[in-house]
Amino acid sequence: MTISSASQPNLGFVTDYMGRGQCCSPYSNPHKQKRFRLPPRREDPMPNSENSNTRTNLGIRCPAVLQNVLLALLLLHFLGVLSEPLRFFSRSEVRTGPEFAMFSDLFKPYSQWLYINHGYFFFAPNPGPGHLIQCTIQPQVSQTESSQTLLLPDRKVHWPRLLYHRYFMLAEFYNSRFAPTTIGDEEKKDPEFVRRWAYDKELYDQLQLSIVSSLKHSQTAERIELKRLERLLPDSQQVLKEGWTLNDPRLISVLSETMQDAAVVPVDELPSKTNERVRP
Amino acid sequence: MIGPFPVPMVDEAMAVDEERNSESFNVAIRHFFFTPSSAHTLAVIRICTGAMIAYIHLVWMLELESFMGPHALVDNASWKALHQGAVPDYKWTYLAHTDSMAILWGHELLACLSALMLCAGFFTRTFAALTWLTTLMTAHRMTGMLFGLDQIALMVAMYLCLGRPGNVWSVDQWLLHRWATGLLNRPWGRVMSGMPTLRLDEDGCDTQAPDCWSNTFSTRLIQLHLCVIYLFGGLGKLRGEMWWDGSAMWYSIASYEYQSIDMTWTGHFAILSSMVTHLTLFWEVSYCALIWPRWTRASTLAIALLVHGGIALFLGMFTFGLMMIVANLAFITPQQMRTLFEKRQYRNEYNS
Repeated sequence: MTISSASQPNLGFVTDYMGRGQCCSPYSNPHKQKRFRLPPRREDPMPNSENSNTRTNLGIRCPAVLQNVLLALLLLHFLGVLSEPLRFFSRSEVRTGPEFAMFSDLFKPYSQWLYINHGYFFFAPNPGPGHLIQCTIQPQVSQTESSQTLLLPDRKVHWPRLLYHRYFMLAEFYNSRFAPTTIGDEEKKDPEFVRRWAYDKELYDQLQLSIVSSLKHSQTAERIELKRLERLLPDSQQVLKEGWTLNDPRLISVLSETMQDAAVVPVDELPSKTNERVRP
Repeated sequence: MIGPFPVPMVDEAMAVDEERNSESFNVAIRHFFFTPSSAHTLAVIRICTGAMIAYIHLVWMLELESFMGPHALVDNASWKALHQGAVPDYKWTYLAHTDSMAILWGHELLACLSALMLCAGFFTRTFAALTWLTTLMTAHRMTGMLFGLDQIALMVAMYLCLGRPGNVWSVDQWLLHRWATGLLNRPWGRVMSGMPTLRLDEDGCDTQAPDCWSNTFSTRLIQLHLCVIYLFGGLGKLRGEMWWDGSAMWYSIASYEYQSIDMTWTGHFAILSSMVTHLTLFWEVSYCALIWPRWTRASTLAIALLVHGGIALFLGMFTFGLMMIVANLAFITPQQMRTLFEKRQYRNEYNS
């Protein structure tokens, strides 16, 4: 097949806004091109043509120099967008992919400040259990009320739904920052492990102190105790055949503050409807 | 006679082809990002995003003392320990350096007001930038309380700053047409609003705001970022066995913390539930490829509407689901958007 030199100036490129145009390959079937090419509604707005930096009947066009600058910045920007998911995905229990870790570190100042440093793990890799914070509130001595229990989040208390979701995210965050109160003898032998544990523990304690202090202020309480709860997901058999509800107390367990396994809470200790009276 | 293969000629032909291909690629890229387009799609995204961000700030303000200030759930000391401690990061916000409730209230009110102005399209360029910046400051301060909604809202707001979403369906446009000699026609007014100088047509009437390359550029950034989000969202799901054995849908709706409408009856239809799981998985992974061709775009957007509509209605994240749908509007052309909302005007123009 020969290539017509007359077709070279615009390479048969016709586009609409969505980039639906076809950049016709010189090797493609010319009849097919004719069938599928959109009729040019306006003269070809070639960005590199003369007067490209002026306002024309075709609209306001970007000067060619600015286009080059913007394309370079765009490339850098999307490297920043990609840096965090790549690092996130290359993580294992042993290590993070070194090139992605380096790549992520390079773009960290940019991606973190712009708040584009996300892994985009929505409901992934699997939908998991929900985490809650149970707050046992001991009122001040002058008050006659007995201790109350507040749950973060609580859909009966936290409304509108977005507010509820903020508290839910806080509970998940609090759980994710958990560091055990003590570590085993075996772990103590590893100085790196001890160093990281001490750092995590300090952050966790700081966060716990902050939440307690805030609740003390809002609840005018004397003492507040926090417990981390986990609500497991029931399977379809339990719900449809055995009649469990999604908020069945049997699905909730209190998570241990040490490195031991979580203990199942007896039903009578669970936060009941009493927390409807409490508003943080 | 079979002679030696004419290698130099092939090389030459290939070099010519490569040159042509690179030239066409260059042209295609420039067309893709810089072909001037009207602002109708961005205007709809602007209105929805402005309203959503205003709502986000309103909800922060409902219990502002619990979220910021001296008695915050994550107080300034904890914030500093998390972000400026032994492992510092690059998050910075002036809200983490003040305990003054007056400043914090002022910030949130300003953010809310900016978002409303963005929604209305009043001095759009200025308020788009202000909305993005104030919301970013809030997001940096609210460590531990953010989720997908904040990510998407900030992403869209950031890209709106680059376009001219106020050129149509905005107060700016109305002002410009009503008072052509007013403040929006002064240089600083045009800079702050992002409005162009209107020209008079042959009859002496104002013309519509011209198409602009920055509208295309801004829309393309939203589209590409959305593709990255879906690609990695899908790849993340590929790592989970529940998305493969078809039980992920059940376990998503069986989460009491997320549930807003009881959908456990779907457990009676295990095959249907599994099919929905797999459809979601394959749709999300292939979104970045299927959204571009014309013949698959409509179905890809329809599934996006169903998935995010489902999240909004049944999984208790109405705001997040809605914001994802708004971001997906970037794939509707300005012409389609205009046809959708200005049908009557089009008809009148046609009749006249």
